[in-house]
Amino acid sequence: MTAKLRAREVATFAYRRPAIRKGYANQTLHVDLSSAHMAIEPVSDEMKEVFVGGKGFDLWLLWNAVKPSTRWDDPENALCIASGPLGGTSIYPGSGKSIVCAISPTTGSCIDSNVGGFFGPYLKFSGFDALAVSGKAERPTILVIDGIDQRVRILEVEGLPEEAHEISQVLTHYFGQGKPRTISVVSTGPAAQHTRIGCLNFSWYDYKRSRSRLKQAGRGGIGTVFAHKGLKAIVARWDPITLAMNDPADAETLKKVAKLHSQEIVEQDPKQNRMSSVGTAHLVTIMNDYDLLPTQNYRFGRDPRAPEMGEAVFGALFDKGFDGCWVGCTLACSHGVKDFVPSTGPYKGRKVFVDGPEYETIAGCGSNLGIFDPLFVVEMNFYCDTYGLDTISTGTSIAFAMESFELGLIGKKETGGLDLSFGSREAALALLHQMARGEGFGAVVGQGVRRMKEIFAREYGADRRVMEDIGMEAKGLEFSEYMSKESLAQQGGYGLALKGPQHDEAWLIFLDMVHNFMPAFEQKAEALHWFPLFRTWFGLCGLCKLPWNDVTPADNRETREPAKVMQHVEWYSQYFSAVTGRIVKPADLIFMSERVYNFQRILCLKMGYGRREHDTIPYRAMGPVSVEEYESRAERYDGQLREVHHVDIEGKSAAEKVALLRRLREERYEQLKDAVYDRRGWTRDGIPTAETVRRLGIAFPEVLDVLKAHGVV
Amino acid sequence: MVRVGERELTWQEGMTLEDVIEALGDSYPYSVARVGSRIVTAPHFASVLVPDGIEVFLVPLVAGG
Repeated sequence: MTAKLRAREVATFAYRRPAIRKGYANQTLHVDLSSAHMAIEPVSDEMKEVFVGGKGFDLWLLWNAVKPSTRWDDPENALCIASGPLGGTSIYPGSGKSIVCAISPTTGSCIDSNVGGFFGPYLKFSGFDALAVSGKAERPTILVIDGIDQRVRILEVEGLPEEAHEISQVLTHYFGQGKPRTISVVSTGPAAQHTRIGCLNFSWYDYKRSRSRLKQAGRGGIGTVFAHKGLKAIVARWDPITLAMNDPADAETLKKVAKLHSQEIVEQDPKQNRMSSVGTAHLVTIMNDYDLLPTQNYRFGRDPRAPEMGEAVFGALFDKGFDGCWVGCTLACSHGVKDFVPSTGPYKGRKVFVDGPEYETIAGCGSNLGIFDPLFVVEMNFYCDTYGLDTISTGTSIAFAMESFELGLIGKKETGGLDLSFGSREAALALLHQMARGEGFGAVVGQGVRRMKEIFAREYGADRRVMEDIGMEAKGLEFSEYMSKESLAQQGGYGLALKGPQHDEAWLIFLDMVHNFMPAFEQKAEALHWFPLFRTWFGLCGLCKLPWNDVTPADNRETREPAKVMQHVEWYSQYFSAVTGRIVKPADLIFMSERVYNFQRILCLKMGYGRREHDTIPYRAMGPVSVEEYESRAERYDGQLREVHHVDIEGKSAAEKVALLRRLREERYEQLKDAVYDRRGWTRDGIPTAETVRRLGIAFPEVLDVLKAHGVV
Repeated sequence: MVRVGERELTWQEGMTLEDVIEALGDSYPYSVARVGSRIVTAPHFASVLVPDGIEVFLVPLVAGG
């Protein structure tokens, strides 16, 4: 395969690699693919103070690259990738994350997506805290950031495979020069070009299995932006990986706190979630038992077949061995299936390695389609990754198409003859292969739920009102895979998330619905302040969130706020202080995030979004849309109407009760918005006030200009 | 004998996971536990039998990624 690859150098940029100082390279790399121009910009102390790193740096670079009129496929849209000051630390669990930002083809606004793999640390060790790629290449192009040779090259390529797992493998060996671990590749696949839900694959080299492994930055069509820039891959080359590389200000404290957290994971994970054995697959049966596992396009939260896709099944399927997507992670949850043989598509009958599946893929591409076949999920996982498709958006989009088919909103005429009834394995896989080729009904589904609603209404005459209720997207982004109907806090967690309904900003469903930790409105609003901000902090630093709260200290339940896992928050503040030399306490971490979080909201506003109307969610996320859904949980809903809302339901039909409950729940969601906006220091229209941005130290002239243009200040 | 963390409980015929949690005298709202390697949620605590000699792990919180 490597022999077929032909590369022609378009431009080379030699640079002098700076030493990392206390977690920072102190410069960013800017590449314009249209002009083949490359430049380095310094990182100021103020930039570090205000934006910290990671997503903060990405957002600042993106803000400066785009205008309010910029669309996702305009050349000036910048694809920004960063690690963070703690990223690349080789002894602290979960310290290898990259975060990617761009203007999204699905939302039209700013998207952010985090991902494991070696790229972020290698980018930083090569001399760059962040990378911004703008412009468009005319021919298939790769960008090579070589920290060892201290040069950046733009290469036109021919003969590179189309599929991501092969691209990563070929480029790893082509540039690795016998040392494959020195290479990390960012790539997408053929479907990214033809859909709006393309993902990026970030690689890491697995020595034991002698192959490149993949992790995904999935959300918001970030792979589609990449493909439309003419990029086939970005390659980072670096060696060695040592603790000294990040130049921690206080190495001894860092070693001490890293050891505490690492050892705790080793001791507690086997007793708790067993992430190191089964990853997030443990969630499947838990969610199912609590009526939270989406089935049939989020109509229901439970199915008796769910255990067929539970942790016991995937634990047996996963290849045994160390699965850390960065050095030194004792959680090591990136499991995969070896020697899987797909039953369809271009790899039919051939053995492949599949990275995953994780919970979101099992739910999105399995239960939400009414399919409870683990091998089917593995095949969907494989093709989504290698075609460059986000498994969450793909699953949620197909689920919407299936329900539309079952409701008669579309038929076989529109689907090209595919029977899209829930449970149709062959049809679901056929859609994936069509997406990869940009053909047939798959090309329509690949536009995502928001655009499918428009197409179905405009071209097929489908009932828009029904589709608005059941199409599980908000802000243009497809929902991730949790049922939020019975948790107001999670409805807020989804609806008020800056980028759209992705659980990584606020995963409150269990705390709210199962544990009832936040019964009052004010408590929910406080949770929707603290949790999104602390979760934001990981993206600023180059860290994974899972070691924070997917394994907890043995005595965590005895603490005052067990949901926050304050022992870990304390360790993270020590970790940050030890690397950067900037001494911080837990409350300071929240303040750091609050600055960037508000800045991101104002960037959304700059792009024409980021207001109250954009925090709307479909009713399917709030409650039962149909009589069938209501009656399936009639005892619950009748009880709520009587006991919580004090409504006399005697003699009322199910349809009347659906309408009553809907009015009450929609009112309650609007009240939640008010409470959260108040807590965040935003106007009733969901815009940060001038006082808030001044308090946070982000009242830059350009920020105030955006606020002024929207009647604030 | 059934082990739960540092505690050792006397095993009885027909002992359920709910019995184990009650015997601990702990008011924490557990939602998930492991009986050996098997995951069990609260709705099933009363119906899952606990074998003699097993270790039970009480998962204090399900937090999500």
